[in-house]
Amino acid sequence: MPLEFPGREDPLLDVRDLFISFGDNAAVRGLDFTIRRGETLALVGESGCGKSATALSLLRLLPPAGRVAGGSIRFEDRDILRLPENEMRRLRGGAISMVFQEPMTSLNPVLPIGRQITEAIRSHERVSARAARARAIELLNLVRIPEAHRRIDDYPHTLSGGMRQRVMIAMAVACRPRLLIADEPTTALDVTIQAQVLELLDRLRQDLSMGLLLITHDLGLVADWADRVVVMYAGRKCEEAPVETLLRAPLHPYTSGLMACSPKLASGLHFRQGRLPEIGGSVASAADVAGCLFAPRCASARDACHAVRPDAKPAGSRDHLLACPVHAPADYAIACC
Amino acid sequence: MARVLRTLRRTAWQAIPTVIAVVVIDFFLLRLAPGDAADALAAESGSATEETMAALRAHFGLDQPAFVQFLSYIGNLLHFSLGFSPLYNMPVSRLIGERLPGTLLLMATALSLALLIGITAGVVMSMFAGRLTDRVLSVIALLFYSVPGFWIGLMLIVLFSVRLGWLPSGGAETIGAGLTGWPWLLDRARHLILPAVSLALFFIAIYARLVRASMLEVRDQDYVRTATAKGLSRTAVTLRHMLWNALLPVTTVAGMHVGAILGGAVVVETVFSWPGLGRLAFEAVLKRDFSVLLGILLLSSLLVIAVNVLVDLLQAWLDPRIALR
Repeated sequence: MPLEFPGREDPLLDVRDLFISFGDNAAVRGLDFTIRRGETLALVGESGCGKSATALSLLRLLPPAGRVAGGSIRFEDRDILRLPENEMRRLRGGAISMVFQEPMTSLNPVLPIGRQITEAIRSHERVSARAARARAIELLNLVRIPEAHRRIDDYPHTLSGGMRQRVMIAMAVACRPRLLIADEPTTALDVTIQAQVLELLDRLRQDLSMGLLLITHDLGLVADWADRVVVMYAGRKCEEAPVETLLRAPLHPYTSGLMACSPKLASGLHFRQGRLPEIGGSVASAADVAGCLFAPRCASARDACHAVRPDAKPAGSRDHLLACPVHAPADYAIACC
Repeated sequence: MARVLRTLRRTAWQAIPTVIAVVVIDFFLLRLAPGDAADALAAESGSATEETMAALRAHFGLDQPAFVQFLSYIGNLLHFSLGFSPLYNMPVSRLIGERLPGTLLLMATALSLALLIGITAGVVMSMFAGRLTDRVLSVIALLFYSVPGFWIGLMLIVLFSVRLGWLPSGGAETIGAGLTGWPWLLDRARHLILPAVSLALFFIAIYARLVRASMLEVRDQDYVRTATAKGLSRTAVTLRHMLWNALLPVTTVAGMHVGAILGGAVVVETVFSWPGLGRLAFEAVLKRDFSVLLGILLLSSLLVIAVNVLVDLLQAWLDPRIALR
């Protein structure tokens, strides 16, 4: 009997058993997740765990060295991996769009921002240049760029990082996408700007009822903005749960480790009172491991962990998935059959 | 617009020391060559006595010490005169004025051809980087790059004028045809093709390779990925987002090439007996007509300075981050 996964009922995006490799190196090794309409799913993990590769694969934008080696990506009723290129092009920036990590370099330096927004609109809809420009001004207002009608002819280098990311977001939502992928949208920004940008993304998600895939390594952001969380390690999912469940009672040792490293979440901890805890070792140790990929860095690893690679299964409740038999509650073994 | 004028004024001021240096260095450098115009005149006439040569030298002031000649040349320049050519027996400015349009036409045509074909080839090569199209075009570009212009010129004449008889082998127009209107324009164009192509080939190769490299570098930029993620077609991404950014290094190099093209024009004009400055300069060297040569050198340095100002303006237009100062 197939397992019941949360969100499998008519999901917006359904990724199953995704494998991505760069040459001989596996970046993503069998990842499953779904996003429902209007929901924010956070994909969390440290650098190099395959978050960005996953995000890029959803739009088939992996760099030439990377390729999807297996699995399926379904968006609504379409199979992303089998779509002809011209239909894929219509999807990009139309139904699915993306905000990138680096606002400083993600805008074309030699085109005015308005032009970069209108070309996105006009490549998807037959509208006049004048109408597209009017809509670009509306969009800039929507992302709260002051004096949008004047700013529209500015070049990116005259805008601050936060402003540029707003322009990126305006560009991304120009055609009312149903899924917005935000790949570390605030990593390059000041902390004070971070909250504003995320607030904006969240408001747009509600207004346009978009699904939002928020990719981050910052658990503090996850706590504030996500509905559900998928924790990734070395290209695999180790834990998935609604955000309250995960933050209240993380089960996987990697999740607990990440949370211990976050000064905001580990209450009362401050760097003046002692060193922040860290997870020993690096993600590179997962390169050629037969069993659980986290085992080389895991304090509670047993012999069996080095031999058998665990899959994510329901633990405790139906929407809490865990890939660790050691830290599982009592009913885990029963549920996994 | 005010910024543009300010740039122009600043560049004009900066050009003054450059021009003075060009005049001084060229003047004394040319003195190092053995012989003078009197020798050349004497050699041409086949017979000359010591007396006639001395009279010639005295007439053109060639018997004066170098420094006195220099002062009188500067004096001429200050009166906006380029001096007098003993050999052609007319003012240098008139001589240059007659030949300049031909050379400018040849240079402009060659440069436009080089940019047009070179950039197109570079874009095509970058789109097929590493594949057969790219390889073939690379080999052709290497060939253009390494074969000397005069040989290409001669081979073009052999093929298109001698064998096929499609195009004239030299000159700027059919002499004595008395054409006007469209037929005249067509006749000029037919005469222009071969010299312009042989002058352009070398630069086509340079621009093609430059644009290819530049495009490949731009291809990995974040904003190109953004453009693709917006759903733009490959053509729009390539032309609007990649090429525009890839053109900057080309404008820099093309600006510097104007001087080189003038140098190349010497050879091409000689091969195609094109009545231009290049051939005039060549003859002036052979006949030690230094006032003509100095005039041409001065003019070409002014030309290079002017083109570089244009390049500055062009770059500021291409890339808004480059501020005009």
